[in-house]
Amino acid sequence: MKTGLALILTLMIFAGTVAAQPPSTVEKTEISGVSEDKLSAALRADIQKLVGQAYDAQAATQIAERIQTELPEYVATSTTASGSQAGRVRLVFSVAHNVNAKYIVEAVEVKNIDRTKISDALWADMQKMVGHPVDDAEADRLRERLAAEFKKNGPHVGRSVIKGDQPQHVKIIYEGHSENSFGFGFSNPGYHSKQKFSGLMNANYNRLDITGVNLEVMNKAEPLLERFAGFKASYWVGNKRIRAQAEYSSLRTQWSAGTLLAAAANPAGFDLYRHRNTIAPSVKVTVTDNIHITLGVDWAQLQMQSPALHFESVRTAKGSVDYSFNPGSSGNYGISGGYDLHTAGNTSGSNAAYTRHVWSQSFAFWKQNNPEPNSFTGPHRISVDFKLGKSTGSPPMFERFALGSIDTLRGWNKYEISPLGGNRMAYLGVTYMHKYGRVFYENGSVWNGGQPKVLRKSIGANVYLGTLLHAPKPFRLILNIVSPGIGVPITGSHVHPVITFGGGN
Amino acid sequence: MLALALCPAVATAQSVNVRLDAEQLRITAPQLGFLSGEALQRLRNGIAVSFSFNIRISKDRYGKPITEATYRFIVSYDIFEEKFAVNRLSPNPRSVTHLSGEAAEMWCLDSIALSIGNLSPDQSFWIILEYHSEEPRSSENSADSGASIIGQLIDVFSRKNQRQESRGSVVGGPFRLSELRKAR
Repeated sequence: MKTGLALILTLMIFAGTVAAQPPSTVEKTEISGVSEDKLSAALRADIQKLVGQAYDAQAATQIAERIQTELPEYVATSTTASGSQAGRVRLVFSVAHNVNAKYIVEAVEVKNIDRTKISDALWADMQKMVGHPVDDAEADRLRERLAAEFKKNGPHVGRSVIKGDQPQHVKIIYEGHSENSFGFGFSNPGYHSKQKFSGLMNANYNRLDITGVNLEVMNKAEPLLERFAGFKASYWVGNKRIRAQAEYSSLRTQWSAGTLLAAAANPAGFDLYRHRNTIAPSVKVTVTDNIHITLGVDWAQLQMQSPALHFESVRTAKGSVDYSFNPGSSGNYGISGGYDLHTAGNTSGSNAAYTRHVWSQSFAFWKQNNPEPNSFTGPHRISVDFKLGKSTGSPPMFERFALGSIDTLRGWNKYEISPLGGNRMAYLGVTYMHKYGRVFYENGSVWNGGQPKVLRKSIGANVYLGTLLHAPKPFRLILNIVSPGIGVPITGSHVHPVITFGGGN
Repeated sequence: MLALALCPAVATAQSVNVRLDAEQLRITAPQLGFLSGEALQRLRNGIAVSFSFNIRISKDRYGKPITEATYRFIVSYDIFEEKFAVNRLSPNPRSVTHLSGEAAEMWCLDSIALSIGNLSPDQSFWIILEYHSEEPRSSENSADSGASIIGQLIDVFSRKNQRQESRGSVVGGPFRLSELRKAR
């Protein structure tokens, strides 16, 4: 009992001490963003009366509301900044179009810009913003001056406002974007225990997002029936709305033993080629940020290997539309997909006449407030993907459908279940992703029109080693991309799982 | 395709619902989603973005406007509170804060109205709402990219990009005032 009373007494004394701490005194009032002359004389006088008074947040808010009533096109807020002495504050009424003008600039920094190349005068002017509310107009004038200093062979400059280290304080960041950018990387690395390694190296040059060159060197076993190795080079020019591209590829083809045997045994005869050179001009139109249309043609020359060495050409007109909708930060789902049409006819001088349609659709759901909704390693994410394909006529081998790789129907081997592919395809996959890995269920079938369908199913899992091992960036991303996995075909007997690395992203 | 590229507003036209409020037409366009893409990215970077909306009535979809009005807004995003603020600059200045993205879009559209003027009750009409966001002109726009073909191409392609970030439209019709009055 005595201990309880002592505790209450201690708390009362502590509370009394806190309550006794004197409130800050308003040393000065400031109006930021507009001239004081825009306010009525009465309001200006009431603002002036606050000087020398104890700071009262409620009174400050009421003044801000009166300012906004007089200047309804602006957002008016009150904030405090340190005064010249301890216990004193400057009361700042920020009147601006940008709601962030109520925050005090803590620091002005540059990113991807060499500080030593900024003139001292400009740097000094930039630092003058520190300690004052964010002034959009001034910040942008300084951005323009910075851009002007780097006009020749320097970065284009962007501006952003980020949270500062202190409460209610922000940092203004000026970030350089080089006119010329070079990129180099590996894409889609993967391993399938029955199809072996796949991978692609790419290098690109981009000038101001207006024009660029891409070069890819690859050796891939998916998504086609053939393993192909070679290079693709492309040049593009365009803007955000329309982009024209010319691509040339030269690919050496390698067929699996299963495909060679099946082609030889097939009474219809499948002409296999050993080399494929393609010129592919195309135009891509961005209808909205979420909808793109691509039109183009492919001129492919095939070096046939049977019955005797000769050349054939395939001239294909292509069109596709792809779309994606994401309701934004407040939503927790996304929809994406596309439709792809290829058509070739004898009238265009093509040795192959066919039409090929593919429709793909994906639905993804993720946990509300996922900080990275589009990340494939998000906290909780479920995606449902399906794809339908149909071709008529006599499509060449590179246009026939295949399932059973590191991306689709994992657990099956396309060279065993359908070594010549098919002209019909249906696929459905459901994947649950967590930051440590993913599990999936897939089913699908590849068949030829008029022939029976065999629906194949598989289950499997991948582990995101980078996250699991808490590897530092960027190794975490690399380890997550080449995630080890297993695909198990669902069959009545003779289950032979497939081991994979990567894929399925 | 070239037309699509040069007239994106037509390409992005979506449906619109119209209602009669006293002697003014008001619209709802839930799929407009103008706070998206690069404009949204700029807002999340703490930069205010200006939007201009033009609403007009015409006798047919592509006809000359009978009447039209322009509304200007500035939208910003509070980086601490993660809420949007909207300032209507003209007409009738007003401001509102602490809105979600959807609420900010809705507030802008709710603000937009167009007088029916001399429209007769049974005259059919179309309503077109176009918007575009604008970023401040900067000195780099006038930068000389060089006399090379690439430099000139860059100038040609980049000039429009740097002035306008996003744009879109909604088109609806044909409507009749008599039908809208019955629907009230």
